[in-house]
Amino acid sequence: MHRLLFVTALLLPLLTQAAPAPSATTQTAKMAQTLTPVEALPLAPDFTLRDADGESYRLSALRGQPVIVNFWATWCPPCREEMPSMQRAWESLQPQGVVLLAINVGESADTIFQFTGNTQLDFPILLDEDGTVSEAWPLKGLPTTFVIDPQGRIVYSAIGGREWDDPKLLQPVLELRRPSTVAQHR
Amino acid sequence: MTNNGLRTVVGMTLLGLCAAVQGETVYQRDPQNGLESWGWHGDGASFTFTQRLPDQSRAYFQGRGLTPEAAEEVAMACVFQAIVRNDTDLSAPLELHLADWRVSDAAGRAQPLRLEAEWQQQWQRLALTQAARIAFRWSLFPSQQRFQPGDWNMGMVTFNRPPGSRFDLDIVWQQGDEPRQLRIEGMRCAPDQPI
Repeated sequence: MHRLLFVTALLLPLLTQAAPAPSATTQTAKMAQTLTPVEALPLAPDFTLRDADGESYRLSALRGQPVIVNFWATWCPPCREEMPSMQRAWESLQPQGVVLLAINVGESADTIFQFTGNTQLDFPILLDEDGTVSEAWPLKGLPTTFVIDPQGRIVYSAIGGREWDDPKLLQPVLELRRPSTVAQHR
Repeated sequence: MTNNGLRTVVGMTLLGLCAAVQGETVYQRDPQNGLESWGWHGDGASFTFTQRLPDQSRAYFQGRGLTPEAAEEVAMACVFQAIVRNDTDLSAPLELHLADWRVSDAAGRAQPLRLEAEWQQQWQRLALTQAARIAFRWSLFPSQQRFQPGDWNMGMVTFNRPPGSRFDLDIVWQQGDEPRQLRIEGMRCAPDQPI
């Protein structure tokens, strides 16, 4: 037990991550910048969640504009790694009428505060502490990101991290602002 | 027959039916921490497995709310960090079921991985908190997943072998309509020693 405590104290940054940071960093260079069309266009499961400041967000209240919904956790290396690019994407997308919501899976507000203390994130970070919303959505692992069209349908998905400020990746999202864009692409 | 039993039979059958694949197996040892990793890249897919020391797993899972006893059980189950990626430039999805994978010891005895559903039954018996069970669920590599081109995922797998033991890993997956299989030989669980 003493050995464990000693090692834990010395190596806390490494031990509390799901994987050593170099592994995740290695992945960044290999990221394929793709959004996969979701052919069935299922209606996105509605939710009402609060952010760390207590403000409430309901997905269905955002109809009429594209919404990016990202599922993540602080202990997930690729989730952390894509957050800065997500912040830059949000700075570009918000003035253009696209909403970005990041849903944290299963962690407390305190844990998220510790993370955002080191990484500036201005977009809404919602708390799914009991995992109910995450279970209702079609995701298997973290991070997973969905793009919702103005009609509330899931139109794209991305499993694994991406560089979200890549214009090529964001173009299909911006095109959703035009009516019938999805129908034109299918 | 239970679902698990049926999947076991299917998995063993798949190992006999799948086509072997072309690719490159890569072994690396991190000079900083000594952790070893094995990977394979080719044919539109890549798999990477990196050792996790038992101490890493003990600390990580206790930090996520598992009791010391529960974290110890995971730590001794040969934990690796897995990364799977669909690298194809075609539109073929990659689909895998970890229940189809096998680890074989030196004598050729094959056994399945220990998957999340089995762990969750144990956590229910041990009455772990909901927060701990949620963290555990999302920390593990999904037991089944479908990756479209460009998709990838990272998560922990438990090969259910003793620390320090060697084994061969048989991986099967589906790329588009084509079943594929791969054997990575000479993998080793991390020894139970401090970093």
